[in-house]
Amino acid sequence: MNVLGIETSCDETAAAIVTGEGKILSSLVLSQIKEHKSFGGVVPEIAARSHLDHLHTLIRAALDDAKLSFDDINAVAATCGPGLIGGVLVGMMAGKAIASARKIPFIAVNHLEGHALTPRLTDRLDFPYLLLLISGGHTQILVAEGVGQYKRWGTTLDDAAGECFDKSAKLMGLPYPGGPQVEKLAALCKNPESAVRRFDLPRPMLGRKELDFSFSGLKTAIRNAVESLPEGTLKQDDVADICHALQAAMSETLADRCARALEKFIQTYRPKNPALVVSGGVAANMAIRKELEKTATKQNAKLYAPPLNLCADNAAMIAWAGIERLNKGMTDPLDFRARPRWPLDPSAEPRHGAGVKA
Amino acid sequence: MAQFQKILALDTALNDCSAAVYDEGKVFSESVAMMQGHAEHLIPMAERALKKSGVDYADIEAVAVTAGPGAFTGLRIGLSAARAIGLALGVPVYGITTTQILALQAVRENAEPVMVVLDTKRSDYYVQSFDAGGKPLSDASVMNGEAIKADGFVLIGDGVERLTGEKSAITAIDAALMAELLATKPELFNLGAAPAYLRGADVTESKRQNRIFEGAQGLK
Repeated sequence: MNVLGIETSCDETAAAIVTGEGKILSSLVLSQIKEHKSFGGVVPEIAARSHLDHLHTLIRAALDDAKLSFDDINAVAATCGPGLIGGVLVGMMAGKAIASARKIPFIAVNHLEGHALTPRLTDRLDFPYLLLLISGGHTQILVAEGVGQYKRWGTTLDDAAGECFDKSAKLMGLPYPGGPQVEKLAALCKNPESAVRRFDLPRPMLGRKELDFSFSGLKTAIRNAVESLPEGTLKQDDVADICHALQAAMSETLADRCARALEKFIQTYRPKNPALVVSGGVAANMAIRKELEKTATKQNAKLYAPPLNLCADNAAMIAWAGIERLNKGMTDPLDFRARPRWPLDPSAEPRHGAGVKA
Repeated sequence: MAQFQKILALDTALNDCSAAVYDEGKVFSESVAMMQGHAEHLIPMAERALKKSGVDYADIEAVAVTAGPGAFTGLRIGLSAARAIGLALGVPVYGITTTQILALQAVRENAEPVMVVLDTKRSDYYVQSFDAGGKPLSDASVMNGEAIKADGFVLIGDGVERLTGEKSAITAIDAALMAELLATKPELFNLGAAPAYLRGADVTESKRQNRIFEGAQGLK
């Protein structure tokens, strides 16, 4: 079985083909970073136009890359939310149209479930597992109990982790997207110990029993830190110090929440081999991975972090989520309605102020 | 250009959702007026139009689609679907402007020069004028109401009511005509179906002045 996956929910246009056994035959990702750079963030209308300009050639290229034709494709899975609706519609319509024209099943995939099921594609992980989903648009702690079955234990009350990185980077004059820049600059920090003393940033929600996050205070602290620097152009040593301090604050906050969640997870589910999975674009940050690794090891759990190309947005995870759902007989009608907001755990209460990030 | 005998036509650019199948001179169509919901209805409607016609997807030789001007999101729904069907069937996809189709609908009934005026859902209009034979006299453009010189033209389109207070009889795209036109007048279409947005994405670059980092130029 070969499944075509389509992803257009943010600023990457992606197409992939994955086999029923989880072999990735092709996974192509076209980043729109250059198109959004001068605006300092993703512009929805520019993103939607760019998806339409490139998606269909990318699907063709994915087939060529996999040396397959449409005759070899058994189902189509497309991201139908959550995300920027203009882009989602471009991908969803392409998916529905192909499914209709080829008379094959269509699977409407929740983008977040794509991230959530990735460790099953990469590591054959069994349910249940604890999942930290950190990206530019989402910051959540979930328990993955099964395909389509998630319990949301925590979410951000304001900014997402990646959003905090991006906005902070912008304040320091770093180009968009800022997350990877912060990591690069932090690596240039000459004295990490003094950097965290010099910029004493808050650890939001640290030690709190609830498993929620809040990052807007951290962003404000970065603004103050940047303003405290001498006038004129910012010097590399200063920026590197702030980046290190930011990364440290973020890592510790995420690790603290995960430690508590892991404790609760082990008590609640009594898993034989407790697993903590970190996924989403921010999971590419090595300092965060390292901190989470320590957290997991302390509780005899194992950290699973997908390879970088499967952490960031991609279509292989969408194809795989499609395969997992197809295996459960879960397909969707061609009148499926795209969902700009689509929580993985519909029973979780919306958090005040969390908006679409909940 | 090849003569197509079996054509699927899709339209979601304005306030209707339509699909039509042209089969060797006969046309079968499905159309519903809707302000939203095109993304849910379009593909099932295409399937119903095919069923009515007895034509199978595998027999389709070309796809026709409205490329705009119209609602950005709406026209992308039709364009993405049309291109994907073309891709999946290995057949070409052709775009035609909404103004051209509406003009031909008008002159078919009344051979007089027409000006198509579409509502942009902002303060201005998408405008294009045509002669009594349906040939364009100008490029489609975005115009303010005061700039529209309508003397000597019959006004049609969904923007006429806001402009003049009088309703136009022709506001909905006739997908059946579009399907037929690709068979009979393919020169009206553009291969590949490039979108006709008629305006940019309407964003301004961030004005907020952040601090400048000396090494930022070296970063990728």
